[in-house]
Amino acid sequence: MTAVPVRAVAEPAGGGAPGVTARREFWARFRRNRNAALGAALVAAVVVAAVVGPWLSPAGYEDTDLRAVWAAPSPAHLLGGDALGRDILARLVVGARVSLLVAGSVLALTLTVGTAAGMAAGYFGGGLDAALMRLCDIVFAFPDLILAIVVAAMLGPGTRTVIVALAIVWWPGIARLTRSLTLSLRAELFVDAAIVSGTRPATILLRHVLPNVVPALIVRASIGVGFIVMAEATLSFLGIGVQEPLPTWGGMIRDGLVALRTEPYLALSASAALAVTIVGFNLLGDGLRDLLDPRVRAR
Amino acid sequence: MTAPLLDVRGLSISFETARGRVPVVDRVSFRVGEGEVVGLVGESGSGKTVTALSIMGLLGEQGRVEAGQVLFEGRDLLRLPERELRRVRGRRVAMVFQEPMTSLNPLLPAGFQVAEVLEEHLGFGRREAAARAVELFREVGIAAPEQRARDYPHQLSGGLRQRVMIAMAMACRPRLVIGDEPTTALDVTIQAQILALLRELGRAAGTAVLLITHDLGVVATMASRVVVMYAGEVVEDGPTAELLGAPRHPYTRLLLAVVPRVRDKQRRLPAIPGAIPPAGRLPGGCRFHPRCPQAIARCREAAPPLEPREPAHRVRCWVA
Amino acid sequence: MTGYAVRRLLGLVPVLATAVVLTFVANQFVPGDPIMTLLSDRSGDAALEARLRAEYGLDRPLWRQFASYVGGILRGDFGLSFRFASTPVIDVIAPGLLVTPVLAVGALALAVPAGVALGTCAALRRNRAADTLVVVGLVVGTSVPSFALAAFLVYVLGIRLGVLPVAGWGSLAQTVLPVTLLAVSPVAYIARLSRTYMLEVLQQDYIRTARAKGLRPRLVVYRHALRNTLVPLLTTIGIVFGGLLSGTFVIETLFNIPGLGRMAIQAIFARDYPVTMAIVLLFTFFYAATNLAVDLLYGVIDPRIRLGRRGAA
Repeated sequence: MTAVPVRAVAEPAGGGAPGVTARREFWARFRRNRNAALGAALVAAVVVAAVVGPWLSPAGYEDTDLRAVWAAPSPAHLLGGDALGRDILARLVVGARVSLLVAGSVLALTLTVGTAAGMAAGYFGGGLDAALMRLCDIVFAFPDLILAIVVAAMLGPGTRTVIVALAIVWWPGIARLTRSLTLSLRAELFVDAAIVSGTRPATILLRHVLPNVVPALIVRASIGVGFIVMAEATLSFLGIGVQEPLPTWGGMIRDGLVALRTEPYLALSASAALAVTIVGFNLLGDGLRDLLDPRVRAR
Repeated sequence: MTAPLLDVRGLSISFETARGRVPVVDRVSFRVGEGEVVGLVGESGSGKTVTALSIMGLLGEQGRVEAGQVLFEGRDLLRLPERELRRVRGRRVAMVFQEPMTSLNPLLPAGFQVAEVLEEHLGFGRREAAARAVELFREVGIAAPEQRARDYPHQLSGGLRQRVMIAMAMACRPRLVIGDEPTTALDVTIQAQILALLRELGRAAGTAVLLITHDLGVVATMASRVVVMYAGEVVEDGPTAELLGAPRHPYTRLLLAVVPRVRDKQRRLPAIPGAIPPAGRLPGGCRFHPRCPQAIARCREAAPPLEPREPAHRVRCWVA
Repeated sequence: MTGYAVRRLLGLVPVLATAVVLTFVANQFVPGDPIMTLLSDRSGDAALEARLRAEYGLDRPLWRQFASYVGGILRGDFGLSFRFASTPVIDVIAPGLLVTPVLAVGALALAVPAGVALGTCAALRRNRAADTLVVVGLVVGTSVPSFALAAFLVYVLGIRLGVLPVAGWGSLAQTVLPVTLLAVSPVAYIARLSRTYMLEVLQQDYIRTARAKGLRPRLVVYRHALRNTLVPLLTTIGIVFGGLLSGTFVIETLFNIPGLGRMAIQAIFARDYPVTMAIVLLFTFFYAATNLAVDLLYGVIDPRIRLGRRGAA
């Protein structure tokens, strides 16, 4: 009876370059994730409309046509006309641009300021950290819209007000997220930093911390865009946001609600546009979170 | 011979994984008699916990029983409608889980969690059940039982929580208690106490115990019979004294060999080389052959059947 | 427990103090001279101007204005309105105090049970049609702002079908649409969260223990699972209420309801900053008070917080 030498059962190793396969796998999972795919489709539609729409529409968003006041949809005005005879569809697509630009500006502001502040607080700690946390607490103590309204009251209605107000409301969330991620990363990087002693903190932050923070930021940002669009629309609906003659969906809904009984197209079409956009961004955000959040993936 | 209390026959269970459905338990058969203490032994991944859960019908969405019967008091538990099964669970078969930390509801007092079994199965009223729960606490050796019954789980130590779990299991005087690694998560000093408690209670109430563990030391003191599982199959099954004194299956022998003994002056803890094959990737022939020091050519080609070598002692091996 | 409550209560103070300071500072930064606005076409009248300035206390140094501002607030005096000359702010907003809290609390009372019920049902019927339907509904509910939804609801229910009134406040029927609309977003938010929490809770070991005890499914869900989902859900109720307060601005404007929200918007347009800031302060106070109540409720529901980690026997 010969004995077979004991040998462990070997597991086959995964093959291929890690970077390339990881990205390809990500896109494959992205397509399969219903939320992300649907959300991306909706958002893409809105973006295309915003970019291309204003060029394609024959009527300008400001052009008033007295014959088209509260007109029903027609070949000339595909969605009809509003109280001043302006083409609803033209105003809708320009409104898309406005919403996206506002959202983009707010994102740009909050991501730069918030990330920088959060990383600094998380990395250096001490008084800087405490001060930042107190600042965030102050902002969190107020319900979102109320803070925005206070800013609007101080600065007066307008597009700039909306951007500033929403940025103020939203940046603490980014700062806190970045801070906690930086804190946990710092525990790991300390060893490296000590070894590479002499590397300036700024370099460490930019080269080591930032790339690890980006996925979480992407998730938070995509979920946040929906909120920002909604907030901007709300402020405009209340009249303290984007002002005439720039069209904004919130403002159009307000104008349209007055005449809802007889001329529903304005309110309904603007509402639909708003709904589609926000739902799209939220779905995209949810989908991205499923894909990028390591805690969710582990399950 | 009287019919056994629990008769598991040809139980096969599969699990839904990322790679599709894989079998995790394959035609497992064993018996537990009235008042007997039987040890079910194996490493993690052997399928022992899944077997136990399936007896109680607690497999969850991903598990599915593919074949076999689980005869308890003459009825096949696998084929009972859910309503009937619920009346068996907790009342005639009870289970003690491994993690006392998480197995108790943190928001309800400990005594209440025992009392509700009495309310549900034996129709006790709220106050009756609470009083009886305190008595049960006393039976399982919890000091100051009235106070402990009012306490919440987070206020109790691990050993105490496990005693509560045992009180919960014994409340309706079931015929069979299944202990799934009940002492693994506990301090070594507490382990012995809990095991002794189980043994005493079992003897006093005539309750059979199916003790699931990876620790042969536990089995040695508690069980009259041992069933050894490997990779979803039963590989040896016999009386404790025989099995531990003169083990037949190479896996059982290795299990015994790796139990560290204080007397031995070894620098390295011995271990069985290799690892249990994952459920979907079983080797051909005998499942243990890649790790078996006594494997022969035949082991690679054909899977051995489970056959009795002595009365009441079965082995699944070509060589033994 | 009392220590916990007292500590949380004390935590309220800095928040409110900050709010007071912020609103006072904001008041200073608003553009334009309120006295000039009040005078409008009588701006040449120097005597009137001096009298008004004295009346509004604007001739005193800043720190004294702040002191009397704070003192006034503690007595319920928010100063004088810029829009309605010489009228105390408190008189201006008092009528709204009867309306907005009713609206907000009503919506909360509707949203919490509805949301929890919806979320729980969805969790229990996972992977079946009901769950998917609910999830889709929830995405829409959390995404679409109330006024956009209002356009559809009002059109269908109010105009086409003529079932419910679409403006005003006073009768029970008039409360239906506003309260419901206000509750839509919170219901969706709460339902989504309670579904997630319920799904998580159902995976827990103690649920397996409860099943192993042979308890009826209803007991397992209501007595064991639901209680554990309420604990994390409680925090969100505070946030939800904040959103509700903000939502009143929109809903009151939409339905022409004479509440604090609509007043605030009108005050902004009329540059009546004392009124605006007073309402902001009030809302912040409601929000902070609700969060405090939530924290205290936490202690009631979760014994781990109430009793602390006492030594184990």
